[in-house]
Amino acid sequence: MPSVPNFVQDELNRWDALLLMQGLWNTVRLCALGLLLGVVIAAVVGLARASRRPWLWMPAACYIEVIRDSPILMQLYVIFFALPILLKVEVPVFWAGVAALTVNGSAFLAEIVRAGVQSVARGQWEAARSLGMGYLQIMRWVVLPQAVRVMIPPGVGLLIGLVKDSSVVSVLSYVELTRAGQILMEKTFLSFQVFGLVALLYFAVCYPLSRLARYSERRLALGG
Amino acid sequence: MVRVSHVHKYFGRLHVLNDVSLEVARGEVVVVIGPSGSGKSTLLRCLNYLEPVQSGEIWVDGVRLDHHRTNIRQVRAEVGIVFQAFNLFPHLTALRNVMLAPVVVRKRPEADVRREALALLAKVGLGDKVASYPGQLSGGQQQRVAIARALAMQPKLMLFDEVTSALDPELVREVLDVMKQLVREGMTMLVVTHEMGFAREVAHRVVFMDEGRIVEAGGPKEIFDRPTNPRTQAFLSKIL
Repeated sequence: MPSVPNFVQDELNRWDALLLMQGLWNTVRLCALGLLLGVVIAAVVGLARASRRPWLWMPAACYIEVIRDSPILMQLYVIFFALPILLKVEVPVFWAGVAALTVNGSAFLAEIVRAGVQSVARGQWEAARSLGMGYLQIMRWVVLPQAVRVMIPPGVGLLIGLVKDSSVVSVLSYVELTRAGQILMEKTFLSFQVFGLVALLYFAVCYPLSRLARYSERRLALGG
Repeated sequence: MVRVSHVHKYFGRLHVLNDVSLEVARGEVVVVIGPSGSGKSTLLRCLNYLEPVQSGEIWVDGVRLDHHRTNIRQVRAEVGIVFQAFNLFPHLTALRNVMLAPVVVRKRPEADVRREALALLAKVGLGDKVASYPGQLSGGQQQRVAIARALAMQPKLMLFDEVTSALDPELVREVLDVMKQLVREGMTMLVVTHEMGFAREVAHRVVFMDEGRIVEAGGPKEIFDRPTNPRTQAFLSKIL
């Protein structure tokens, strides 16, 4: 089997590989949900942040600052350890991880949404308003299509960072990719092979994301 | 069609509109001239509530513009405005720029709107540019698309805010020609411009503004040939 490097074949058996695949799948699940919910919340918070109404932008700004200025590990601890005590609800590890990624990602992404929306010239708003369009219509048809272009490069950079940050969930012994690597490492002591492979798998998740960004950037480029 | 009475507007401490009163009848073409900062553009922008006023009344087609926003959008849909900076939507083709508002605001069927939009673009001389994006068009062409976009809402009143000021001299005429055509069709128009030749040729009435006030108003002959107010005389002697 020339496609699989020899050391992998020799030293890691089929069960070890399965464990890694399980970890990879859990990382993908974790990130897919976290990113998706994060984008949705970021859209709402970011638009609120871009508003000129104090009762909208002030809470949004607070949310963004509090989250941005604390480590994602602390957010995970708060969700997993503190919330159950405060609210008397058990939070499963997986969902605690999803929530931490959602909350953390949405705060950073919201700033990108705000910057994107505010990058659209005032004249665009005036022209659309003079045609009788309302706020939601202007957002949908005029502002967001232009803002998204600006938001994609930093947005995807952030999402890729979030995929890698999902490794923090390993501290709760949730077997995502990093935790799977640690387990194998403790079992086999093949540090280079195991963590090299884990890094490669992270790359395999992230690289398509950045290709997708490049592709959509080109597709959304201004006509001509 | 338009009735502005005793309007005052401030930007901070700056008194941009000082007791301005003006009426525009249906089918009338009123050209507003005056030095920069005299409040001409602000007056225009107040007419579709892009700017609120502090006191006085503005009526457009029988609807009073006020702080209760209920009727603002309805009035805006009836009033077309063309800006100095074009403000076309850069992510849409010329055709889509023209079609957007009738489809989204008026909720009219796309096929009908497309037919009308194509006709409008042909009318402003851009029948061969319908698929072009604003970035691929010259300034004069962009401004003509902007006029078509405003016309697509079938407005009762058209406002022109220094629409040729950002254009290269050789592109000014193609835009003025489109506007002259609208005048011939009987469109009610309020035009802020520095094109005195255009004003003299098409205006039914010329209004001279300075420092937020309407200083003098009358037929183009009166204003251009026999201005009575010294400030009007001074302004015209500088530019004619």
